Amino acid sequence: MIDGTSKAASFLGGVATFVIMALIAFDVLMRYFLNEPQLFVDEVVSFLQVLVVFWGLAHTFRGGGHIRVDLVTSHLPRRVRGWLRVVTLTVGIALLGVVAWVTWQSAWTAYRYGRVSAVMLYPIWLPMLLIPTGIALMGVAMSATLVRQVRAMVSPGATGDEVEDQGRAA
Amino acid sequence: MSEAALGALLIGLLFLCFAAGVEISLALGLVGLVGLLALKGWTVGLGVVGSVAWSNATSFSFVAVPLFVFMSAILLHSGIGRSLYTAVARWVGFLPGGLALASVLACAIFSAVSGSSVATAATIGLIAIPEMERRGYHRPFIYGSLAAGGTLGILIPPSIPMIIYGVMTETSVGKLYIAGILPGALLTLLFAAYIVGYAALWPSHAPRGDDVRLPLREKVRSLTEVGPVALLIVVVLGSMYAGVVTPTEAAALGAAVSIVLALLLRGLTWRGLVASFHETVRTTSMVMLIIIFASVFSHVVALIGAPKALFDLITGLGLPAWAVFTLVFMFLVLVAYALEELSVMIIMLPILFPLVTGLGFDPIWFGVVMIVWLEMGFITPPVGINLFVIQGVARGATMREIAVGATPFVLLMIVSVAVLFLFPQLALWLPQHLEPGR
Amino acid sequence: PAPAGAQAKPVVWNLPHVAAPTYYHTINLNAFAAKVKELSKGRMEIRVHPASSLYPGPELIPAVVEGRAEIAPVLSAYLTDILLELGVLELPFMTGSLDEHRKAAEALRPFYAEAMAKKGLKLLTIHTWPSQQVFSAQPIRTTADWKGKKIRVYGAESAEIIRTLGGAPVSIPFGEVYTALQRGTVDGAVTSATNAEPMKFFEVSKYINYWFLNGASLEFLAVNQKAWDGLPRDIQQAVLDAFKAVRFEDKEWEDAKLWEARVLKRFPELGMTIVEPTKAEIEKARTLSRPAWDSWKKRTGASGARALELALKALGR
Ligand code: NA
Ligand code: NA
Repeated sequence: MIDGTSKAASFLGGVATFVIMALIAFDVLMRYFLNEPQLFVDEVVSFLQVLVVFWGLAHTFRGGGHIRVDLVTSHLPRRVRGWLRVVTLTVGIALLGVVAWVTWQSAWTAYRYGRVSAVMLYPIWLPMLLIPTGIALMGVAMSATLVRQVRAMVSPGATGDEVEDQGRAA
Repeated sequence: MSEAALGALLIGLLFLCFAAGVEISLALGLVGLVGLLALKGWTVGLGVVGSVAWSNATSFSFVAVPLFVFMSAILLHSGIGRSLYTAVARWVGFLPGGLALASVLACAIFSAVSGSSVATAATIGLIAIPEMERRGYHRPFIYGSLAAGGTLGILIPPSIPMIIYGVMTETSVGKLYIAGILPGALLTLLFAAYIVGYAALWPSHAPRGDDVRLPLREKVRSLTEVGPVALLIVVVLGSMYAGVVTPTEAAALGAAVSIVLALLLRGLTWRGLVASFHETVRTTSMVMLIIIFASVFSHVVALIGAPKALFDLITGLGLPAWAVFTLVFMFLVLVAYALEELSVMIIMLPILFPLVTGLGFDPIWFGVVMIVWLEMGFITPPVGINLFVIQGVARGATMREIAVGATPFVLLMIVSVAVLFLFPQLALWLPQHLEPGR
Repeated sequence: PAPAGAQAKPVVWNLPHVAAPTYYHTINLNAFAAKVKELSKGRMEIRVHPASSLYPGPELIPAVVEGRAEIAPVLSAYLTDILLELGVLELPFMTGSLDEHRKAAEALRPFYAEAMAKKGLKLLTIHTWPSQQVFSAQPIRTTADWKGKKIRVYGAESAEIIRTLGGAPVSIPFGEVYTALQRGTVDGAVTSATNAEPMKFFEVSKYINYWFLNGASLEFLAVNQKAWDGLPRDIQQAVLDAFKAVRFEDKEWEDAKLWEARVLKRFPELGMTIVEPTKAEIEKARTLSRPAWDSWKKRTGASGARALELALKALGR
């Protein structure tokens, strides 16, 4: 369920990249051949970029894509490493919670003040909303890993090591 | 608590988080957030986090990052990058270490369309490594030349780290690109000279094949295989220098043309496209989250006044500029062996940039130096991103073999930084003189 | 009053700005901040963060309105949503010189203060950036010369002006404007002369065209009312006195003129030609650009209409 949502969000980010590419190419062609630059492209593209960045976070996490340093942890005893991961996951989730909350506040304020983009005057609360949703999705994905990590530590016969190969520095 | 003490505490906390295995991006965000709350309280502190996230994620110049990754992924999945290696091997295969030489040269050529060192190493490595293994090349020699060759991808334009450097320091990405050309050529030559010399000294490490000297007609025919990549180079670099597009737009144009080429050559499947989507998003999310949270962290650094304090401290020592630069660079080399370099560049730039340019060094020149430094970091253990790429491409290669093979190239990179220091014009001459369209 | 000698922790305010550390705004703000420290006997410290090192330009207004910054400049260049009516004097061809702009701004001061108060801001000072001009590869002498020119703009208003004059507005990140001018990706760019100097636009464009799209570009120093109310009375007074002691507003207006005159003297030496269109041509452009006024009026509603009425009265039109 979480995997499916993360993957779908990441796929949308890929589609957004494709659209970004097409829009900029369109702008360039219109500007160069017809002398008609497409002013809307810049802002739409930068909004789409928010989608690429934030909606891709969760799937990237699931695939171990967020770089970590294992210089120290790889030398620790298995169980210590496992419990340490419980701590680092918890800390990460807490941070994401705060960031999701504050970026949600930003989006809400933008909606209330009717904030618009500089050139095309598009309302910006909508793209702003992509940030807390993406962050929250990553938080949920991390929570799922946390649950599995805790299980690996406390259930009888479990390895007690860090779960999966996620986030190894690579 | 004094602000200096807070600064020291935060840096300690940052390294503690790194060591404990917190994701680098999240560690930066966490420490940045703690610093902001301590300095500015809840409202202002969190306000900065929100505005930093928004303004970085919507920065138009960063759009080139996903676009270049996307283009590279398309080239990889459609096999366009591979024929390049075969063609180059036909030309230089007869020389000592010919296949390794071809790897480095193919990397250098591919660099002119690729903005990333990972993509360059992976694309060329995928075909070059099995070729050399079959020929019986010494394994560290194979892996080293590919790992190092791949790093040319960020020095020869276009270049994703140059975009990041340019955006962060408000330096023209276009100028940085031009500045990378001559140092990129120098480094390619140094690599090539080393490979030929090594193979001449240890012929058993680079056995020659029997099909070595091809007739010229055969060589010329092989040029057609370079066609798609050559066309891309013309599109990406040509359109930029002809003034048709900005560096950011060149990335979009390159990606679009790659897709068209891949479709025409029937090299692109739906699966390949979807895989390219996910790879693009994966790299972009990872890098941009580091950029965003590093930016939060550097706000704290700026609020504490650390860059200015450091500058005053160091200029107060009365050291000559070259000594300060040498110290800075030695520090960076140490860091290159310990941490992930791209994030370090992002974290350190707000401090290093004002310091180094304040001493009178040129911002463009320093950008090129930072890129060569990144190249070095990408092939130094334990955390060198190209080492992992080669390990992924060459199943069965040990980290030790790769790192040993890469070490001579690290030394060559240090040499090229020394050359850049003694002859800054190597980087600065082209941007100053290449001014068409006036 | 605090007992002498008992050093309490000073109140620290952060003042984010977009100007470079060597630009006159930063220099004057630093002088002001030093004076505040002196007059408050070290009980208040204002830290100036130049070059967008705390908040990026577009975030300055929301930041001070929401209290995410205690004190910040409200730049007319960044009026896109909140406080839109403050931009009345920056409508295209509204004023034709710094002096005319200042006179009108003085007359509008109560209006500005009232509009800001509605958003929870206290207006401290009104000062300026130099006039907005156009850099280009080809001279733009007549309204006909605008036709088909790709001009880099940075906001809804300047986009609208270029469009009404028959040009094609282009959006390009600031860091890439130099290269875009150099390689002819765009034909020109709108910015102030003094801004163009550090960016070395003179290396890549032959002409600076004095159309006075804006006679000046106002900047209002505003403080969040809640933050202000939180200050002890005597420190409030110290802040107000500091402005007077360093002649802050006068100095800003003088510097705008001085810096512009200085670069104008430099440009011909650097091989640039200064183009001064005739009065008649500027008048023609003023008429042509009316649609830009209309769309501004539509966006600002009643408060904009009132601002326009006051502005025209102040300018004697
Ligand atoms: Na490259
Ligand atoms: Na390294």
